[in-house]
Amino acid sequence: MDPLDQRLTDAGRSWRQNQPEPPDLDRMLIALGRRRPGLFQGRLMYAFVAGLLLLAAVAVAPGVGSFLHQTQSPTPIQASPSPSSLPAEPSSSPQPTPGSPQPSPSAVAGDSETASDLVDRYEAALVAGNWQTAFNLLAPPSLTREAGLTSFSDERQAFFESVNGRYVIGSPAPATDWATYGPLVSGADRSRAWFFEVDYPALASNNAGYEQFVVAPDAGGTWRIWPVR
Amino acid sequence: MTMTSTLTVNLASATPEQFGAWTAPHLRAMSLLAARLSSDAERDDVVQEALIRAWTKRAQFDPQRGTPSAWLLAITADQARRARRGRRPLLGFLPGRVRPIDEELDLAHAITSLSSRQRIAVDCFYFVGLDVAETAAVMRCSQGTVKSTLSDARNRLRKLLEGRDGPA
Repeated sequence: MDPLDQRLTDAGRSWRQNQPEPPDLDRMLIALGRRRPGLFQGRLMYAFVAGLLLLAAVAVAPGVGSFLHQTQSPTPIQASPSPSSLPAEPSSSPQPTPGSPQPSPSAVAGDSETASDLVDRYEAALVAGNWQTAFNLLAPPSLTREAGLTSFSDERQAFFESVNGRYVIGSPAPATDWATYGPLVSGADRSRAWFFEVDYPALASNNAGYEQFVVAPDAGGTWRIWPVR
Repeated sequence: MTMTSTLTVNLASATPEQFGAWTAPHLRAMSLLAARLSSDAERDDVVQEALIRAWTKRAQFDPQRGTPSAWLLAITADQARRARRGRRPLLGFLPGRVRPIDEELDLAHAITSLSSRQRIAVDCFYFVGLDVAETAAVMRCSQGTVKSTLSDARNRLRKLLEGRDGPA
């Protein structure tokens, strides 16, 4: 064995032997039990806020005869986009395609295409090694961007050396699982947010072989990416 | 093994106690990784947060994509990185209990001179005792990349140590 390899192995063994016992698992499981009601309350809160927003949209929608009449309508309510809520970066194909996922009531036509295009540009920049370009597409409040460009490029460079330039962007789905990734997407317009999973075939059968993103307009209306995995 | 497999299938609907039984075999490795990538003082908090995160994401675990160990260790590494954020990493990577022996201190100091990726690879493989596949899961890269990163790290350490105490 290489003497340095042996030296590192010995140092590691010595370090492990000097480590204290792991923390008490039973005590930590109690914390899991305490978190469950919190998550439930969080979901209830989201449902409550969503309900209030829906009621407000119904109340201000032009041409609405009565609340009862509106609730009997089989077609979903499409809120008209305000100029400030339009995407800052126009989509390459602004019209929704047949078979597109059903957007949320406040989503703007073409949002899913805009989001898909952004994810594609992000992945293409990473494959090309354009770390700065990819970094700029991330939401400033996202944890990945907060870590800084150097950390991002170091980590992404190593990862994309393994990817062999291949990625598969999954179909966009309206982002709904806020209990899971809500804390990671601060500043996102949740009413227009889309969830994506990107698979890397070269890393198939590996939990490192996929990434998940939420894509949405930020507070300024610019479409951004929040890595959530 | 049978119990673990059964729990893997039903992980999404597992109780906290079942989840605890599922994670128990990996708790020591999670603790070592947390101590190595953050600090002794933050170890328990990192493990706690990792368990909570794993609990809330348990429905996303896919046994076809990797082992429970690799999944839990990757989450632990993420939590350790978050704990480390806000302070510079150099001291964070120093081992917490280095015996006052010059040779070990030299090695510990040399390790702090590695790049962040090289340090994580050395920490995971040599100090935490993970195998190459588990290290790859923590680093989110292929096993080949882990091997090449470790090789680069050893070359760098060799040069650093040769300059201090002759050939390593």
